[in-house]
Amino acid sequence: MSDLKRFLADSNLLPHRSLPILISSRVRLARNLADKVFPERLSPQEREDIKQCILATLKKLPELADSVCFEMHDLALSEAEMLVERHLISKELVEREGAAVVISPDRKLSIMINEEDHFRIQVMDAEMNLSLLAETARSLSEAIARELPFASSPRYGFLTACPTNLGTGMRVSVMAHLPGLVMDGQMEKVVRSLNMCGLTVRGSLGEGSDAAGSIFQISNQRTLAQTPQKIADTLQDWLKSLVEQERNARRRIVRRNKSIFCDQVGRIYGESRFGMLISEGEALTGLSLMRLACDLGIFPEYTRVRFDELLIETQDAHIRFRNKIAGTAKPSELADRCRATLFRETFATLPPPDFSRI
Amino acid sequence: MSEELKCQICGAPATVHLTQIINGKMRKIHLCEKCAAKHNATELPLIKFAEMITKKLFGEKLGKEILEGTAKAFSEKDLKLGKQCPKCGMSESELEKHERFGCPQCYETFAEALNALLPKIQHANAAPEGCAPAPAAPAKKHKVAAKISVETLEQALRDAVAKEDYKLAATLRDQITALKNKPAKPARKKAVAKTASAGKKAPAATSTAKRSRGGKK
Ligand SMILES: [Zn+2]
Ligand SMILES: [Zn+2]
Repeated sequence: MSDLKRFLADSNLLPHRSLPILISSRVRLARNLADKVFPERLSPQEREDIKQCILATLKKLPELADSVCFEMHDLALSEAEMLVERHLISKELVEREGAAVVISPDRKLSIMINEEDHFRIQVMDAEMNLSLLAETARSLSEAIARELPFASSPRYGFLTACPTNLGTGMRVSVMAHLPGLVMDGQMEKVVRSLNMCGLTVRGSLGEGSDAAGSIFQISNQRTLAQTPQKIADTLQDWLKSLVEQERNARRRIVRRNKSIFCDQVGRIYGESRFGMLISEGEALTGLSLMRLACDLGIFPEYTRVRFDELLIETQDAHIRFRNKIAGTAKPSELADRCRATLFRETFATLPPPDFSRI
Repeated sequence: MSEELKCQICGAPATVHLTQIINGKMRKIHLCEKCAAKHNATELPLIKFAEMITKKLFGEKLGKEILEGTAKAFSEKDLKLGKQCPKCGMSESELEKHERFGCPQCYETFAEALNALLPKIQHANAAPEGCAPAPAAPAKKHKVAAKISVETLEQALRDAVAKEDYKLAATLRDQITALKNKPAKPARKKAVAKTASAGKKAPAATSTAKRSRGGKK
């Protein structure tokens, strides 16, 4: 447990680098043990046995040296929610019986055990080299498969609990910050064309979440009858044009509504610098605008990493954990006060907006 | 004995006799030729028909209660008649409900349902490369579907005979003969087979396919 507290409290390993528009990339592989019933249909005892067997094997892998491992039943709800907010585990894993997660020391790799499938192998990065990520995930999954063979069929490929993951079991996704396209009213059109090319667009917290802060998760729909390389390349190709479209939209917004836009940035900066109560939603919207302002040169380049840190640290579970706020009641004045304090402290170290750059 | 029975809808002499299971008990339904024809008693999938008749006989509200009991009784029967995965025990109706497979073996057990589903969930139409397994299957799939339906019906027929329910047996036999003679529309045959086994209104493919649009995390 102390191990966990240290792990969660350690913010040195939050993103060191941060790109405009594209926030992070991720490759996820769904895998199951050969000849074993999928987690959902196992008895609690069988699930426990499989979990222990998998954990014992993973601990021996050199690829996972120094990784930390948490069994979900050892975590308090708020601790588990922190892992969700950092995208290290899925929301679903929090509620699963007999689940666990293994996380690499640099937090770029996590393996969920007994989620919907026996394995959910995730590799994450702030860079946008999708084929490199896919390759990392593949070699890790092969290392595991040498010890524990995976369920597969010659016809379909890897077998998964949900047929939407069948075949490669691979979901490549990119978190993109698209306020320009949203403000310019283009997002619907973009979503439609992405869909046409086999890509899905969701809110930042995955299925069913809304696109608060104009942050979207874009991923491949199909997992079957395509090579992992092809899946990664399709999305990678799209990113170029997506970034270009977002840049054009931003240019249009600034040209058309420069004074309104600058006014907004100034006001949000003021609230962030001096506000006393900031809700989770206000934090997200505000930081989205600050990140956009940074991309446009209103704040210096190095501030983007700080905004990204705040995006993670001002989420509810993080605020509650850092400030030892008991209970899980979502809207809480105490949490809003703590969040505002974090904003004031951070923004005190940042220069004010410089509108001469746009 | 059947000469004395009267149509439960209009009171005319009954010539059509059907058996229904209500709350686990067998119940006979007697109809005259006219009423039976009017409601397509012999053509309608059995469950649909039983539903309609029950509501007619007992009124909308009581009928609904009875039907819910029937559905429950049927779901146990369903385990016996519908396909079931030998490894994890997943039944076809569970698969429809949860939209998840239970184990690797399920992919063989429910290959037919999967083939119907794949073009939708893997968006074969969306991308230029095409989704290999989807178009490859149809010809073979139809034959499998027909075969399964006949088998299911034959099992139901044996059960009916064992229970000395000859009227139901006759209906089933007619369905089997029809099926064997013209293996044309697999979707509808599937619906017929289903009604003999499960208390669900929608055939397997359509209800399982609903998830396609939502996608998965
Ligand atoms: Zn009548
Ligand atoms: Zn199974």
